[in-house]
Order: sequence, then C-alpha cells, then structure tokens
Amino acid sequence: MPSNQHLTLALVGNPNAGKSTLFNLLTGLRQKVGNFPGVTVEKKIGTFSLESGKQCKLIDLPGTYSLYPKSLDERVVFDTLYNYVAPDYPQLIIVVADASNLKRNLLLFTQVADLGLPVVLVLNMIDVASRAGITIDEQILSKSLGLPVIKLNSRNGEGVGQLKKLLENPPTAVQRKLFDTNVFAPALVAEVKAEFGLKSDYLAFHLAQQYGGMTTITESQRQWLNDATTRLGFTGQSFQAAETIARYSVISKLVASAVTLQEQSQSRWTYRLDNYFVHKYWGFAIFMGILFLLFQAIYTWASYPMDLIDFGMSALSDLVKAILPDGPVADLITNGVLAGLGGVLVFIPQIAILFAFISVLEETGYMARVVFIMDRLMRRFGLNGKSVVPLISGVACAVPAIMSTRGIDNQRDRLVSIFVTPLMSCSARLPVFTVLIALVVPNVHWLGLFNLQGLALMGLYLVGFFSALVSAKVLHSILVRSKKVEQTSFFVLELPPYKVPKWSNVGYTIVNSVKSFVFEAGKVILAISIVLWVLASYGPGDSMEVATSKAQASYVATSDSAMSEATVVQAAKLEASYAGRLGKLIEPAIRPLGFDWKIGIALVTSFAAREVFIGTMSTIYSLGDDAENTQGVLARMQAERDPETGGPMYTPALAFSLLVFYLFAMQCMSTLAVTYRETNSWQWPMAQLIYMTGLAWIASWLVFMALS
Amino acid sequence: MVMIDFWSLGVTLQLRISLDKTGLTKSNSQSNSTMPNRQKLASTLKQGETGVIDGFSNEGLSLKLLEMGLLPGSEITLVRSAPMGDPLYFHVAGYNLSLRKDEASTVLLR
Repeated sequence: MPSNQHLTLALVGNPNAGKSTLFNLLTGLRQKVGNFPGVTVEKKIGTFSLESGKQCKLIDLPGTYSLYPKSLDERVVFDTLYNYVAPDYPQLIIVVADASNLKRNLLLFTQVADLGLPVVLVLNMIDVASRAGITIDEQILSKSLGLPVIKLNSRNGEGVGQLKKLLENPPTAVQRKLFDTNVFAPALVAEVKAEFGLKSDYLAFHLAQQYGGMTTITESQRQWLNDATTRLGFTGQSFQAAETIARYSVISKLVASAVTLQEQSQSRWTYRLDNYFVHKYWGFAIFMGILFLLFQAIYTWASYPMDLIDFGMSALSDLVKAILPDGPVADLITNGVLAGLGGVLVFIPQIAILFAFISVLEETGYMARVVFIMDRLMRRFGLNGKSVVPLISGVACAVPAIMSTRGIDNQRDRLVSIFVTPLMSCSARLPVFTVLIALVVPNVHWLGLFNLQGLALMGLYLVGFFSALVSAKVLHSILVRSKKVEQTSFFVLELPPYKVPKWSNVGYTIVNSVKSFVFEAGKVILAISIVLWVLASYGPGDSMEVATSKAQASYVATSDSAMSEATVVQAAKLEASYAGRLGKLIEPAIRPLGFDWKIGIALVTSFAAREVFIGTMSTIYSLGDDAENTQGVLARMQAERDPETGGPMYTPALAFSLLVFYLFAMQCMSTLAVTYRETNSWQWPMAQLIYMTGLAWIASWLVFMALS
Repeated sequence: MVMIDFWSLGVTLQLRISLDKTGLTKSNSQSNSTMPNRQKLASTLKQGETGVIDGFSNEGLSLKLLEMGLLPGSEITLVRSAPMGDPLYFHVAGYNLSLRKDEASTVLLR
C-alpha cells in the first residue's frame, strides 16, 4: 500500500457520461497519455493535489456499459480492476454516472461496487437531468447504497470541490452487496475465492467467466479456471442475462426511493436537429459540407501559422550560419538538425486544426450520427458504421486510428478496417501533398470562391478514401470466402443528445495530440534528418574527393554557364555519397514512374515516416546552396532542373506521379508496428506493405504514362 | 447456433426460474418460422410507433441489449430510420439507441 500522502484513483463510467470532462477538470494539463500494459488501448493518467497537499493519481479507464466486455477496449476495465498486484492499482474507484439516464448508468456502478473496492458514485450532468425534470436525492441514494454519492456538473465544475473534500478522507469501507452470486454458482465462487485469495464473491464470479480473454492472469491460472469450471459444470455466459435482470430490479428499487420524475419537459432539440443531421439528403449534404470545411481549414487557415514557423526556422538557420564558422558543425546544425526540426514544427497547425475538428464532432454528439448514417453504405464495402471513426481519424494519423478500431466488436470488420485505414491520407502525407500541389497546381480561385489547390487536395483525399473502400470490399470477400475469421457482430450504438462542445476539452485534445506528435514522431524525424545529413555528406573511402575533382575538371571543360561551379560540384558530391548510392540502387525500380535517384533517397527515408520527405528534400537540395541563401523547400524544388532536358525537374507528370505514389504507398514504420500489435501477427502488416506499395507503383506508373 | 441450443435447454434450474419469471425465454424457431406474422418485432414498428418489449430471439445480442436497458416490459419507440432505411433510431429506457434492422428483429414485442 502506498503512503497516505498518495492516493491512486480510477475513473469508470458509461460512454458519454462525461468521464473525460471530469478527468480534464481534475487534472488540467497534468496528464500523460500512454498504453495499458500489453495492449494499445489508450491509457490516460493525470495527477492533481488536494487542499491538504495530498497528491492524487487518476487513471481514466475506457468507457463501458458493463464489466462484461464486448470489445477489446472494454476488456481493459475488468482486467485493470482485477489486477490488484499492479503498481498503480486504484485504492478508490470513482464511478461517473449520467444523472439524466440513471438506471442504465447504475448497472455498471452496481457491478463495480460488488467487486469489493471502495467506491464513490458521482452523479454527473446534474444540470441536464434537472432540465429533463429529474430530481435526485443523493442523501437517500447514499444511505441505501452505504457509500458516498456526489452530485456534479462537470461542465461548470459544480461539485468538484465536494469531491476533492471527500478524497481528503477517502472511504475505505466495502459497501453492501447489491447482487448475490450465491444464487448462481456458490460452489465455484467459493473455490475460486480460495484458490486466488479473493475477498469478493463477485470478483471470483467474473474471473470464472472471463478468464479466457484476460491478460492479467497466468497460463496456469487460466488452466486451473478451465478445469474448475468444467468440473463444476459452470456455463458462464448463461448467467449474465439473469444477473443483469436481477441488478436492474435492485436499481429500480433504489431509483424509486431517491428519484422524482416530473412531467417530461424533455428538450426536443435533439430530435429537431436530427431531422436535418440524419435526413435522407440533408444528412449526407451536411456531412460532406463538414468534410469540405475541414479540408479547406487544413489547407488555408493553417498556411498562415505554417508560413510563420517556416520564416522563423529560416531566420534561425541564417542566424546560426552567421554566428558559427563555416564547416561541418554549422552545416550539421543548419542542414541536419534545424531542417529536420522545421519539418516537425511546421506540421503543428494542421494537426491542431484536425484534432480540433474531430474533437468538436465527438463533443457535440455528431460523430455518432455520422456512424448512424454511414453504416448502411459502409456495410456495402465490408465495413461498418463504426469504421467511419477510424477512417476519419486516419486522416489525422493511422496509428491512433488503427488503435481506435478496438471499438469495433466484429473481428472481421475490425481487421478490414485496420487493413484499409492507412490508405486514408494521413496528416503526414499532407506536407508532401502541399509542396507537390503548390509546384504544379496554380494558386487561383475557381468561381472566385474555391481555392484550386484546396480542391486538388480534397480530390486526393477522396481518391484515398475510395481506394480504402474498394480495398475493404475485396478483402472482405476474401475473408468471407476463407471463413478464417468468425463473425459475431453487434452494432448497438447510443445516440447521445446534442451538446455544445466544452471548449476546454477540445483544447486538451489538441494539446495532447500535438504533444504526442512532436515528442513521438518528432524524435524519429529528427533522428532520421541527422542520419540523412551524414549519409548525404559522406561517402565510402575517397569517393567524395574523387567526385569533386572530376566535377571541377569537367566543369572547366564544358563551362556550362547555366549552373555555377559550386552547384555542379555539390550535385556530383551528393551522387557519390552514401545516400546517393542508396538512391541509385533503387533507381531502376522507380525510373518507370519518372523518379530519379534523388527522389529515390526521399522514398527510402520516407519508409521510416512520410513526413521525412520534406526534410529529405530540403537536406538534399540545400547542400548545393550558398551559405547565405536559405530558401524554402518549394523554391528549391522549383529551381531543380532535369539534368537531361534542362527544363524543370518537377513537371506535372512527375509531380502527379509522386503525389499518387505517396497517396497509396505504405511508408510508415509506426503504422506497420501498430498493425502488428493490433492483429498479433506479421501476416497483416506484411500484407499491408506489399499491397499498398504495389498499388502505389502501378498507380504512379499509370499516371506518369498518361501525363508524359 | 451452439449458444441458442444452450439457451433452449436451460442449463441450470436457477436460470430457468429467473428467465421464466421475466418471460425472457423465446425459442428461436417459434419466433422466426411458425408464427412470423403474429409476433411483432422492434424492426416492424412504424415511425413514431411504440411497442412493449417481450423478449429476445438471440442470446448473445440479448445480453448486450439487456445491459443497455432493454428490459422485458419496457417501452421502445421507433423515432426514425437512417437515410438508407437501416439502421434504426429508437427511443428506449430514457435515451436514444441505434440498432441495425436485423438486430432490432431479435427484439420481440408484446
């Protein structure tokens, strides 16, 4: 047991009960996002201190309707509550219940309370409840439950003070049993309790039902439970219905004594809005409109802060060059470190805007409507409505998107969603798209309203989206035919009432996503930028010197006035470097697509992460620069000449071919890693790699052939 | 199929008693083949129509639906259907819930 000065708490509750809002309210910016051990379900841990100075650690568990998991996300809840030997095992559970929908929310509460841990019940959304004519007497409820009950409005923080006061002297007593397992399996429960040293009947009862999929027990324990349940003829699942009904009858009695319901004056707003949001035509039109707005925002609104960051990094680079003497150190800092860092930072505005949108859609309750209207359509492609969430999140980043497929209970739909999500254009492709579109699509307004570059970008996203759908369809029919993956599917989706988003929640989402991008992806990008600088600056043996003198000699011989001597020498040096050799090595494979070995270098480094493309391009092309001339990467690429024709290197054919390649190719180690973790097999990530890269090659080749 | 056989066998005495009390047991064959017209289903409600839940015809799904508050004896109203006719948008147990048509057809009404 940790000392009294440190209290570990866990938050449990139904989805949409306002759990995350309470989490944000209590911990503010003192939160860390990680994973639960062994699985990739997002684990948020925050800290806060009480008035007495006591420190509290708060773990946010995934939202669930019951302790019997229906999806992998929900499994974490019971696994965590069972694993009492874990270092941050909670000493107290805070169950958050939506007061406006008390009965259903209390089901989970009665289950958690019966596990035998100290519990506090928080009645959240008390404002919504009172507007719906629901009055709850928390004193009566508290008395009949034998544990503290606190009314709370997590939107304005009412009641948080009371909760904090309670945590100064947290309840340690175990409350009365709300449901007796002895009715069902007294012998087995007794045996499990003895074998595992458990105090709670209900915990033992759950263990006997859930041991199959649990991650927090050992193999021998699993075997023991298997033997015991078989020996005693225990048939897990069949007790669940009876248990749920028994619990609801207890809840009905509790609610009858503590809750008064006035004549329903319930707001009809949700139904009124749904007349439009899920309407036959309006519903889709509004959804498309929101997506359109999203892409325009990412493209145009983000460009101002991005230019600012670009400008700042250039200025910093110039400053370093002015201060430090010429040489490898200054070169490493400006062309290696700062170029890489700039490539990371310039990305922040787009990520922030994207996550702001996703967060607002979720906060308002609109995301559930998107799932609702899209389900039928998605099913046609072997997906389901819930796949819309990973697919839309895939526009941000495939890694969290693939993680979010854990909400899909149907294993086959989940695998298909995982497989196709990386085809959605993630934000890492965005800088690549941005630069290449700017190279070949004129920056004009169509009908004086729509930015043509913005339209081109939207087109790319749509192509990505439809290729994901078609791929899903193909994979779905393969899986159906092979009958490899069994099918048990629930859709069952709550449509929460519409709410005005709580802007601080949106803010926390933005901060967390930007933080994890800068620190997680940023590390990789920065490291690769430095490695790349080394590869591009050095070559095997004396090859660099040989190349330099050769270039100088040939320059004198031809005295080509179009290029300065320094540029010619630099180009020759790059060609002779390690990076150049690597690019040359793969050049035969990419020549049909119009790519040269310089782009080859970028493709190689992009396999670590796509966004490295820009950093690579600026590193490769900046090597030829004069010291005082630090152009943006766009200008550098525009200035690049085709060594054979002397015209611009980046013709529309090449640029579009490259765009299409980046649209389809699997160039992200993190995605492959997360696919491996989520599917627990190398088969899936390998299939993704081969399929997507093959698709990219063929599509690029077709585009290049058609345009040149 | 294994689950459903299980269900109709009524594995333990306690289970059978508690289910009989709530009127939850409805064998699959009864609801689907012999009396398809007499048995009203949540999926056959008209827009705005309310029915009273009687039981379920799919065990695995019924566990989830019970947890979501769809108890025998409670009311269920079809608010609307999705643009392409499926899934359906219900009001039940004081909140809004979306079920696919085939899921709603496992909810038997009185």
